[in-house]
Amino acid sequence: MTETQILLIEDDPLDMELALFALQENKIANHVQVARDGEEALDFLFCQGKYSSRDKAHQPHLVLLDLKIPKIDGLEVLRQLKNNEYTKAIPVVILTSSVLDRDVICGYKLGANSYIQKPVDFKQFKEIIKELGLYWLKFNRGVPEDAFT
Amino acid sequence: MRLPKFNKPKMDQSLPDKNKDLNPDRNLLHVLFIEDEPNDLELILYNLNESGYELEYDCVDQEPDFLDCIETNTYDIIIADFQLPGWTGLDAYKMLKEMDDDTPLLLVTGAVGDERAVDCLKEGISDYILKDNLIKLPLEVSRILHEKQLRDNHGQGDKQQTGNDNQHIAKCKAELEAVNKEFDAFTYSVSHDLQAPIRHINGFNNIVLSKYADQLPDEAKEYLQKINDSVANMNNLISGLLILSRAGRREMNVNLVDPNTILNEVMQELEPDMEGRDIEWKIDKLPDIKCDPDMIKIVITNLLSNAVKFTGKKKHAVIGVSPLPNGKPGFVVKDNGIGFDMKDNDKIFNVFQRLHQKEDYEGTGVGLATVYRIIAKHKGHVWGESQVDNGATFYVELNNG
Repeated sequence: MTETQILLIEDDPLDMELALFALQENKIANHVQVARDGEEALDFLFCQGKYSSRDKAHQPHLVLLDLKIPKIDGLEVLRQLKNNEYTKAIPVVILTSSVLDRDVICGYKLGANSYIQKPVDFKQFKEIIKELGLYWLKFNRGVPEDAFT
Repeated sequence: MRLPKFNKPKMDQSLPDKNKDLNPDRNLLHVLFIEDEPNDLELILYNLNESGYELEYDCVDQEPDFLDCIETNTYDIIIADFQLPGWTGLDAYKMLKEMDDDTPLLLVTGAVGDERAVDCLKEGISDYILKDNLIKLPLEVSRILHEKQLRDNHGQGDKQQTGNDNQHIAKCKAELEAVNKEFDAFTYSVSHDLQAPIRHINGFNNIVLSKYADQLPDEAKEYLQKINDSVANMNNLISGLLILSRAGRREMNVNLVDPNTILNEVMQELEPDMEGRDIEWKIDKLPDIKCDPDMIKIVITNLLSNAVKFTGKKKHAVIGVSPLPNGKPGFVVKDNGIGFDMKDNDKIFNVFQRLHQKEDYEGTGVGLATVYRIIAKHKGHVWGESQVDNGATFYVELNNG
């Protein structure tokens, strides 16, 4: 079974394509799971709905979270993720276009590990994705598998 | 004098019944319009006609024509647009005053919460209406005509009148503030939402440029690069608007602040813009000021980066920062750059106003508008002095009370 390294939560198809391109070009992740709204993201993480056959023990090593997403809002996804025993240790990087202090503060209060504003310049965006991948998937030592299960 | 026969409306009176004729006798009204937008004129005419005014009017959009008209004709009222090519409705008002002409002037300003409308109120124009609120126009016109008649009957010093004027100014101010708030919220959401499409354009443009570089002729690459430049430009514009709208919406966090620290921070941040330049800085110690430090940082950043930008063609640039000569809290930023013509003095703080060719000096025309707004929020004053090719000086005076 392929291990999902990154869960990308992004509703805008163009932003999704650009993020996937940047991830691929930097050879960061072989397998990226995309969730197009908050509900799908939680279904995936909690292995419910159409993901009910998924193994809870295999969680992504990094979640890239957009805040303005349909069905369930990004901050609510974050809250539930950080309040669940199986998923609370997954690093979450908020990747959003919002510059509102309110969102930044709320994000950190709910346990986000990082908050990054999507730059307009794609070269800069690729650079950020590269750094993120290196840091969270290579340098950072995450929780050992099954530690929280 | 022909006047509609009905009582003076109360200030808070709700909108009149559309079908009710404001002017039952359909008396003729002589109007001079100062308007450069045929569509706007048509809307104004429509609103007045609907309410029963029959009009005989002239329309001008140039100063000489305006002077010509008021010298040769007598009008019941002048209805002026604020923003005109090369001049403003405020200029027209001042000219009237100079000529001792007491024809009432009603200013019609854009719906975008023009900061300048506040200046008009200060100048004594108590009658203005927003373009998106033209439905109120007939009521305003009749009120103004009625007040004019009262003035003519009782003389200028009528106390009741002054009271009503003040009440009216207060009403206008409140209305303007509400519109400003709405505008800020609108600007924020528009500029925020505009970022997504330009991010996409830039992203895919870059992918084409990098992925297919060897298959593209040089000319195609140049065009794609031009798209990139335009996108970068638009992005700067949007970022500027975001800062402008946030400056308007934010709650002020006022403290006694040492501006010298902020100045140092800003100068460090501007270092990339100063690369390869010969700039002599003359920085004097500034007195403490009572202000919102984040907002004043935006002001200092804009003024200094303008000084750096507009001295760009000087071999040896000199930029000075010093306390206000009158000893009041604030500061002065002076450069020896390209300067501006003092006849443009009242335009430089307008949004999107540019005085120089884009090729010569980059910029979005939002910076000084942001400065103006922030200082206005502090109840302070900002003004500029300059001579073409002889540098510009900007004065910021704050209120420490």
